Amino acid sequence: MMCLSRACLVAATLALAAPSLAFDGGFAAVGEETSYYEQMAAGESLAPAPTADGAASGGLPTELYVVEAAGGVRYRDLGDGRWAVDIEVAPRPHERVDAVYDLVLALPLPLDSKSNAWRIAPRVGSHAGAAPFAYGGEEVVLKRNVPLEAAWLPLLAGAPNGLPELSSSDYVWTFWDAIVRYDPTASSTLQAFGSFRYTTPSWVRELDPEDPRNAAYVITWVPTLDAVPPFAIRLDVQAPAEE
Amino acid sequence: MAIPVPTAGLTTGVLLAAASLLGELGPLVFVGLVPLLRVLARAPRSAVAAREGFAAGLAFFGIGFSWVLGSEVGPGLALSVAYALTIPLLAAGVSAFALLCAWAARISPGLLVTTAPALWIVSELARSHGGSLSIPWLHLGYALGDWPFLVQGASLVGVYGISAWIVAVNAHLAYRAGWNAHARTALLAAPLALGLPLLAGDATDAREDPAAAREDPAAAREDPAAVLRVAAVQPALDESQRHVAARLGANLGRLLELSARVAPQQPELIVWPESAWERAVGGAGDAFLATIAHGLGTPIVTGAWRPPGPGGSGWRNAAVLATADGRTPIVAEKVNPVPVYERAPSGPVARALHRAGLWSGRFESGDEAPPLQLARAGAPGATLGALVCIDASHPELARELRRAGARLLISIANEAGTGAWSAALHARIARLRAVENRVPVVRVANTGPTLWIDASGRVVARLPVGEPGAGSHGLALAGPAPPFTRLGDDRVIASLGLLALATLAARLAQSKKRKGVQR
Repeated sequence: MMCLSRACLVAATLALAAPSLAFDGGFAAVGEETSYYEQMAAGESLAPAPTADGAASGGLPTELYVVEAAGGVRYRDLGDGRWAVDIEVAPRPHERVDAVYDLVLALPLPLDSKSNAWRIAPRVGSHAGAAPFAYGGEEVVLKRNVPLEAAWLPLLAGAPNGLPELSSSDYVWTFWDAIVRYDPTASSTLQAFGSFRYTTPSWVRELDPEDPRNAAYVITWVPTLDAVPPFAIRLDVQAPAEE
Repeated sequence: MAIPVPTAGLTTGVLLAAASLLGELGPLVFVGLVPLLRVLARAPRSAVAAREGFAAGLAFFGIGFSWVLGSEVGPGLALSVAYALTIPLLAAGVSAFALLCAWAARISPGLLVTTAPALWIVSELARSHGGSLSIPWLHLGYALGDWPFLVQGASLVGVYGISAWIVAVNAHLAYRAGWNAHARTALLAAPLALGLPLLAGDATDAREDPAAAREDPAAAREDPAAVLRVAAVQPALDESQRHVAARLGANLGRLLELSARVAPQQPELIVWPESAWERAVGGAGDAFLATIAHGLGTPIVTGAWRPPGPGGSGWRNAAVLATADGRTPIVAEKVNPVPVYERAPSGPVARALHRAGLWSGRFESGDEAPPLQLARAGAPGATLGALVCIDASHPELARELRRAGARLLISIANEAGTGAWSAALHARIARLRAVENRVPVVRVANTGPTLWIDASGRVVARLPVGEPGAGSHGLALAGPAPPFTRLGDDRVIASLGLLALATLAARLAQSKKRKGVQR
C-alpha cells in the first residue's frame, strides 16, 4: 500500500512538472519556489522503508529527472593532443532537503583519454577572482569514479529517461562525484564552474554542439530516497570560442 | 517449618555478579564460589545443596542479567518475560552443579577440587550451546577480561579453561582452607595458583589514554606491513533514532562526518558499527556504499542487514566490506542472533511466544564466512576476520577465523538498546578472544566501548564511551597461532572430565576397599 501511494505521488509530481516545462532552476522555474527534492520529499511516505531492498540494481536508480539548465560545457583543443573541458553551472536554486547527496557529474570524454589527476575542483565567483567551491564547510572535489561508471552506466546509458547513448561516437561517459551533506547555511542559489585537462589521441574531434545527444549532466542523487528519480541538469555542449 | 535462608548461595551469587559486571572487581571470582563450595564440601543433604545452588544461580544471573530489564529493544514486556522465565532455568543449572558437587563431597570432600571445575564448565558449555536460547555470557573467565595479565593462559586453554582454573582455585580455598588450620597452606597456594597464567607471557596492561595510543613501534620498525592502521567510527546514536526512516539522512551524515574527520590520518580500513548502514544490502550489493568508500579513498567495513534471498524467509544481520573499486561483498553474518528480540522464532516454545507477541525476532542464523582479504597500498594484502556482535562471545567462531588465516579480528556491535553493562561485558569478551588467539581485535560499537586491543588483550586505545567519536590506530598483525587456536578447547574439556572421572573412580575404589577391610 505504501509502495503504491509512493508511486502515485512520484508519478503525480512528475506529471505536474514535466521535463519539457522545466528550464533552468528545475521546479523553481515552473513558478514555485520549492526545489525538486523539496517537493519530492515533502510527503513523509517518500522516506524509504528501513527494510526496503535495493538489491535489484545495487540500489542504483534506473532513470533520471532531467531539466535543461543554463551554463554548459565547452571542449578546447590546446594543441599537441592536449585538451581542456570547461564546465559551467549558472546560478540555480539550492535543494533545501536535509539529506546526503551524491553529486555526480556525467561528462563525455574521448575514449582513451589520459590525465595525471582525475579530479575536478569546482570554483565559484568570477573567473578572475575565483574561490574554491565549499559546501558544508568543506571544499568539494569531484573525483572520477570508475566503479560507479561500471555499475550505473549499463542502467542509464541509452535508457528512457537516462543518459544519451554515446556508443556511435568517439566519446564515452565518465562519472565524477562527491558525497555532500545538506548545508542549511548555504545561500539560496548555487553556482560553480570548473575545468579538466586531458590528453587524447590526435584523431579525436570535439563533440558536435548541434547534436542533441551531446551534453554533460550534473546529477544530484539522494540515495536514501529510493523511489525518487535523481534530479539532473543538462549542460549543453557549446561551440568552441572564436579565437 | 521455616526454610533456612540460603545465605552461602546468595553470597556466592552476589559476589560472582559483582565480579562479572564490574570489571575492576573481576578478581573477586577467585573467591566468589567459596561460600557455596564451603557448604557443599560438608556433603549436605541434597535438598540443602540444591537450594543453595539455586539461590546462587538466582542471584548471579538475576543481577548479572539485570540490564535486560532496562533494555529498549523488543516489544513491550517481551524481554521482561524472557528474563523471568530464563533466570530460574539458568539457576537450575547451578542447582544441578551444587547437587553433583555435594554428591562428590559425600564420597570425599577432596573430590570437590577436581570435579567442581569440570561440572561448572559443563554448565557454561550448556548455556553457550543452547540453540535458539544460547546465552554465552557471564562465564567466569570473562570476569577477568579487564585484567589481561591474569588471563594469558587463555592462549593455551581458552575461556573455558580459565573458568575451570577459577573454579579450581575457589574449590581449593573452600576445601583446604575453609576457615580452619589449613588456611595458611591455602593462603600460600592461592597466590601461586593466581600467578600461573603469568608464565604464559608478558601482558602488562597498556596505557589506555587515546592520546598515548601506540602502534607497536618495534613491529612497525621491523616490517611496516606488519602493522595495520584501522579507523573506528562510533556514532553514539540512540536506539530510538536508529533505523527510523526520517533519521536515515541524519544518521548517515554523522557517520560520514566522523569518517571524514579520521580519513586524513590515512587509515587502511574504516569500520562502522553493527547495522550502522541503514539500507538493506542485497545480493547485488550497494553502489552508494561503494561510492562512499570511493569518496573516502578507504575501504569500509560496516554492519548492514541482508534481506531474504530468493526462496529465503529470514533477514540476516551482516557485515559488508565496501571497497573503492565498487564492490560491496558480505564478509560476515551473525551466526547466533540474540534470542527473543533478534532471532527468528524456531521451535514450539519460541513460536508460541511469537504468537503471544513476546518474541519479536526476525533474523535467521547466518552462515559462517571465511576471512576477508583487504588490499593494501604498497604492502601485501591483509587477511582479516569479522564478527557481528554476540558472535564474538562464541570462542569457536573467532578461532575458526584465526585458523583460516585471519591476522586481525573486527568485532562490530551495537548495545545502544541494551545498555552500558551489556556493552562492557562484550568488551571484556573481545579481550579474551584476543588473548585466546593471540590476535589483535578492533571492537567498534555504536555507543562504545570502541577499543583497539592488541594480541595480548591489552587495550591500546579507546574512544570515550557514549559520545560520538572516531579514531585511527595501528595494530601489529598477529604472528603464529597459539595452541588454543591450533588445538581448540576440546582437549581442555576432555582433560577436566577425565580428571574428574579418574579421581572419582579412585575414591570409589578406595572407599570399597575400606568397606571390605571393615567387614
